[in-house]
Amino acid sequence: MCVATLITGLIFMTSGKKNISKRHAAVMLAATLIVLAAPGKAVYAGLTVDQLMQKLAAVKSSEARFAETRHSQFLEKPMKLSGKLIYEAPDTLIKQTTRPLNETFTIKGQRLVVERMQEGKKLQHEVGLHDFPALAPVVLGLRSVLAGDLKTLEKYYDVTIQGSEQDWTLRLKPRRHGFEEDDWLKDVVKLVTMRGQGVLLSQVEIIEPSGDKSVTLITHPDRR
Amino acid sequence: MPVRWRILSAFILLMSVATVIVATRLQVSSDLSMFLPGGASWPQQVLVEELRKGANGRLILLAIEGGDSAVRARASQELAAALQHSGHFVYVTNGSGSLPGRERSLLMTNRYLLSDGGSAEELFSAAGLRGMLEARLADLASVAAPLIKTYLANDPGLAGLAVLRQWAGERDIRKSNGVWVSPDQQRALLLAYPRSAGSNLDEQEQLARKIRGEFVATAAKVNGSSLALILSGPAMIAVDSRNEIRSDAQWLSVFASVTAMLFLYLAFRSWRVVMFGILPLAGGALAGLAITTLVYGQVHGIAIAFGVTLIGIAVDYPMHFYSHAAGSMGGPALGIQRIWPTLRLGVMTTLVGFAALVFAGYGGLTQLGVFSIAGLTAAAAITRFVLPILTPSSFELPVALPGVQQRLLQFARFLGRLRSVVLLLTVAAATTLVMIGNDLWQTDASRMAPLSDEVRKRDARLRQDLNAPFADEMLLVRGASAEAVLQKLETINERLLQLKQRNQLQSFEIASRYLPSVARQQQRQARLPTAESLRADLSWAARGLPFRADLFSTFVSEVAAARVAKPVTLADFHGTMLAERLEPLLFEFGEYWVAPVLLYGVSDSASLPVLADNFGDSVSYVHTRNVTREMMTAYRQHSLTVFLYGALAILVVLILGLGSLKLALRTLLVPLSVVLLTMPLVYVMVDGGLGLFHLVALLLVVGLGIDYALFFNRLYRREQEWHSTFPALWKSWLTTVLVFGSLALSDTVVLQAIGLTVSIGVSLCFVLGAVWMRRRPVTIPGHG
Repeated sequence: MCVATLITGLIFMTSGKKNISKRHAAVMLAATLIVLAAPGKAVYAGLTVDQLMQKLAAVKSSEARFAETRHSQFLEKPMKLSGKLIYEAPDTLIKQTTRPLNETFTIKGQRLVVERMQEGKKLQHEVGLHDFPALAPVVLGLRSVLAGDLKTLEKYYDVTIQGSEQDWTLRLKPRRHGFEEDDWLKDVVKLVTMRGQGVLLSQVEIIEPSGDKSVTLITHPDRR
Repeated sequence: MPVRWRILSAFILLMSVATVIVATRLQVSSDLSMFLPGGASWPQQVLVEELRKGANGRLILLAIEGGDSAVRARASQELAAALQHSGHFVYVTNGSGSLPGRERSLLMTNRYLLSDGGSAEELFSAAGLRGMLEARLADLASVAAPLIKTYLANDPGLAGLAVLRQWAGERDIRKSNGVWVSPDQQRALLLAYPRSAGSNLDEQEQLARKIRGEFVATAAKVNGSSLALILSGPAMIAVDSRNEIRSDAQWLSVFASVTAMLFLYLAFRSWRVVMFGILPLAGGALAGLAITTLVYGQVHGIAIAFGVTLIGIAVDYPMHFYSHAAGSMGGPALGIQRIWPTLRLGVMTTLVGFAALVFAGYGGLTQLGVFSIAGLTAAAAITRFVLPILTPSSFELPVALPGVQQRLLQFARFLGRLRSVVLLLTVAAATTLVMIGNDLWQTDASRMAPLSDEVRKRDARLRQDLNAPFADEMLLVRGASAEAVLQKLETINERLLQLKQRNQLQSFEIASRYLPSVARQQQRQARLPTAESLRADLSWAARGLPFRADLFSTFVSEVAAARVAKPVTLADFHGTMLAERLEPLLFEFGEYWVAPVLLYGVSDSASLPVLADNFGDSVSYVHTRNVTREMMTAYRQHSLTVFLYGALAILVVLILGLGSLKLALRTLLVPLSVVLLTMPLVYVMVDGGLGLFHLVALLLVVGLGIDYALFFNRLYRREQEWHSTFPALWKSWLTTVLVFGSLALSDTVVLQAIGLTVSIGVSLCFVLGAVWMRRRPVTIPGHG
């Protein structure tokens, strides 16, 4: 593993001062963005990825609650997280974890900020997306989803869709590029599965190559 | 005639032997450090050694331009892999590389000894362990969770990451597509650290060729036809500038030879002169090369280049000979006999001057001395013995260029009246020199191999992009053993951290950051718990936390192993990629161990000498530029002293040869005033003062000045000499100006320096020779 990457991750983890892990951030972003690309009223039939993207792109802002269950090889029982997800067009996304810890992960344009409460102190670190090239395509790719830019999304993932407009399942698999160094995404994530009804996402499942798995249920209190 | 044939066959035999020696034995060295002065104090010696082999000089900076960012990134990856695979590099890195297994396991195995980060005392207390586990649990809930997973079980204190962080340094370079890029993202950046020392230019040139070759292959592989590669770093720049000098020197020497030959034909109207006139110089160069090869085995390229420049004085010898060799003047045999005493005295004085170089005591200059002594002796011998037998007794000299001859005669006569003016000018020049003082000389070592501004800027930009600044300032720490030095470094480290906190220092590179002293490692070991106590404390600490029960068993056994492990020493790093970071920072030097502490971004230079003084003689604060300046000054003063002794020796030879102190002084007046006038003239024409190249050129000018003085004085003796010696003088002068004037046309600073200095100098030799020559009581004839 690249030393520099380790280090940047480490810095945050040990001192809470510097950066976040690009890998996990990538996974979280993938989940979060898709979760948030949700509100709307129409229900579609015979849905294609194109059509879904188009509808999702029309969403200007949203707020939802999430409840995440993380299965880890290190823990005897899964870990439960919950909090809030906020999206604002064109390019702001916030994941606010309130339990079991206070952590806010903000993506705004090219900026990426992690704030964490640790030992009573608020630790904040800000990085440019360019410092984490592994993150950039994910963020840009998923932002393209919101903008209806399937072309950019497909640059990074093989995208498939199943089901109907009332209940669809979108599968994102990291795309193989043939150049080993371009296949970083498959080291980060094995499969992202999203379930939704209409433009509302209800569930995001992320499977990591290690077998660790995270299942996030999303509720839209103001929509139901 | 048997004597004639014997001489000729001896000449051919000797030249053949010389050719064989040169062809079979000559090894041209390009190690620039041969021309570096040796240092006097230990910090100076360390610095010279650093310049010779140091990491600073070795690093190669690469940038890939053109194409789009994805293609550049792919090319960067392919090129890095290809270069690493070539075996010529200790490491090649483009920001994406990973630490190889051996290095990684060395650091990980010894993590509790190499770093304080994960082994602090409180961490291994029960409360400390509890805090650690809670922190890891929080990490698992964080967006940063995946990173921690590799380490969580075996190293929950993250000691290994702390070690890796120490080694990662502070380089913070922008990345795109997984590789380093410039801030504007228009270039992909790489760093390569070759195995060979930076001062061996031939090896560096091969490396440059290798890199460019791999780049072409890479570009083809990634379909990046519009990609371009930029190479920089001290060694690559030196290779480029040498090639520039070479190609300039090649076309200029062809140009100069053709011009000189045309002129010779115009001046002598004889193809024989054009053909054989080159023999003394060519034979001299061959002999010089052969003797130097025999003495040293390896001859430095610069010694050859400067040597040929110095024996350029031999261009004059055939002029003098042929001008006196006409059948109507008694033929070649008598001609050479007539001028030989003068010529011999000129040769002797020049040889004495060159001998000064041999005693100057520096590797490169000594070779230069040997080369020029051998070369000049051979050139004189060829003029004396070979040219006459190659010249038929019927040889005649038509009056060539009568107009030029006529005008120059008048000019020379006119010059004789200008003594007071010239004397005033000389005094003025001497005063100017005194006023210029030390500024006259180059003190900036980087100007020794002068570079264009474009090259400098390109290098500066790459260095900035790659965050690879050149350390101008450092502390040099000395001790009896590596351990003693490391312990001292640990104390210094504390002080430097304080300076850093006060923003008086941006960053620093110190060996103890990577390798703690054995004493410190043992302190750390003493703080590590035993397996039993750690296991007990851990199970207390993990109560109520969801971690799997057996998760930390490896952690426990590894801590226990570290507790009794053998401390890490420099030897453990040897042969690894990590050694290349460490070894330049801590090495054996003579009977001592020395550690340079590189300082970056020093804003308060005053505090550092104070810091160093606290440690007495064992720590020295060094500003590279100041030290090189001191060294250059000492070098120059030493050379000037040697030259002064040389001048005294020349005076003695002149007194003996001329039989009169007065005549000898008068003869010395020419080169003396020529040098006094040439130096300020050259000074105003060049940038940054006079350097080694100008000094070498001045040495040639001194030799020329003596010769011109001696030959001008012949004009005093006999009326006839105006028909033979005077044409030889002006023809010599113009030939030299043509040859060296061509060099002055070069853009290359070295060639320009020599060309300019010699052209100005030789012209002044002619003029001042005419000014200071003894006046004839009789009138000067109107034409030759």
